[in-house]
Amino acid sequence: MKGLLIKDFYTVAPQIKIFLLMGVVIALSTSGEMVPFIVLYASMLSMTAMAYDEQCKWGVFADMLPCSAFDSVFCKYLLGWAVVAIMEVLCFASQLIYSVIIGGGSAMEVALMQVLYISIAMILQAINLPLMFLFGVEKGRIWFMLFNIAAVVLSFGASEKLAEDAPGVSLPFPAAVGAAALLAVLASVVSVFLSVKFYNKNR
Amino acid sequence: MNAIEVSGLCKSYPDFELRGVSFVLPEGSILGLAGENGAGKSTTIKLIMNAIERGDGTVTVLGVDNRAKEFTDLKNDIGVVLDEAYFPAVLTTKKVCAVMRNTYKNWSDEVFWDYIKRFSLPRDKKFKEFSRGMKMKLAIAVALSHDPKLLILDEATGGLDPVARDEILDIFEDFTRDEHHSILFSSHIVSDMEKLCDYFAFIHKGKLVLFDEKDKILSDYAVLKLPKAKLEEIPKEAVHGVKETPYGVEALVEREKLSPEFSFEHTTLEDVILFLAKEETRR
Repeated sequence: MKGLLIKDFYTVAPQIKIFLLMGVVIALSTSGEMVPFIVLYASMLSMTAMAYDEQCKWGVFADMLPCSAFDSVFCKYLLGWAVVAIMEVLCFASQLIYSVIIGGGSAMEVALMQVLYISIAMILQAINLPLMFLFGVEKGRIWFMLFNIAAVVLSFGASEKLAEDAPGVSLPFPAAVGAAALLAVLASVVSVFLSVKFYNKNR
Repeated sequence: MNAIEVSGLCKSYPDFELRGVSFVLPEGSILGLAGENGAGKSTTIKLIMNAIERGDGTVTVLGVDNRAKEFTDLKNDIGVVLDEAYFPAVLTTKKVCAVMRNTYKNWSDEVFWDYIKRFSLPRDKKFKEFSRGMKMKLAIAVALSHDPKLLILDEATGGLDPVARDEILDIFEDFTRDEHHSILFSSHIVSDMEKLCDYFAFIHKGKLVLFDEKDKILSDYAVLKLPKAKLEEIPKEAVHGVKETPYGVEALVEREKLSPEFSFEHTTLEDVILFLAKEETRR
């Protein structure tokens, strides 16, 4: 798997550099408020790596290598998590500077927000990758967009309904972050399982 | 131990079917697998490597069932060159080396760079800028650089100029000087196989039409040129294909079933398979 991961890093290295540059520019120009979007966007870099694989039909050769289907799939997850971690360092640093050092805000709240960003990024990847392995990158992207639109619409609807039916009820922020983190881990486990299944189905 | 044992291998697609393919590659030998485009050579190779699910049959590679868990690890001992080199466009030779070093247990940088130097391949040029011949040479260098016991080559010499092809064939021949090294060599350039192979198999429209030792095939079969009327004098069971020409007929025959009075043409493997393919199509 190490070789596959190295290959993926080589193929998306230009994009990682661009993300880092964008992250720095956005951090400096928006006082760190927009940097979390770079973290979320970074979770989709695995899709770029898969697109490169599809373009060169790497999968045909990968079947000849001493790598299992799990290796071929899991390296995409590891890539995504690694890139999210890299962007998260930038995000955490910028928010620490702007919100805590300059703004005098709570370091704990900033730390919890980072956990939330990472959790959302992991959930996005957990939804995205099985769709890519099932439909291929092009069709998978369309399904992913449709899913995102549906999720946003449903979330708004559900939160409005909740506000109507149970006004004043809210989950404490640390508990909400904890729930998001747990959901991210569970979603990732299920996602890997599904991706391996779809990868084998499409071989 | 046989390097590869294939028995009753079947695979169905909507527009193609591989039916009951059986052959053996003895250890230390080279088996040439010939067939026209779309005959099933690449499908057979993918089935051997368990890259696609087989419909029926058994496959054993280096003594291991290719569906066993151990087969993934066994691929460390198998070097594969496909009809194209499927590396990502942005990788350079140096980066391919780094990827493969971390993929194969027995990878040798020294052996790899020796081949790269021998093939005059650039270190830092991106793969997308390689010519077809350069891409194949890189794939061959990769396949040879992790101490494989078995080489599986699917149209590996396609796209190479005659000089490069000759050099590559010498390398493959050297590879089998070790009695534990074997090669399965699939190609439609039959002349390459005639130079190199110990065993020869011919697939036509998904069916294995011929499998035997190369020298035996060349001694058993021969092309006979004769007037059409004389064809009736030849026992039907000795004839394996007939082609009409403006001057008479050419027939592929089994030498031992004919009397010594007949004089045979110089016959190549290509002649044999052309006749057999036409006969199969006619049936």
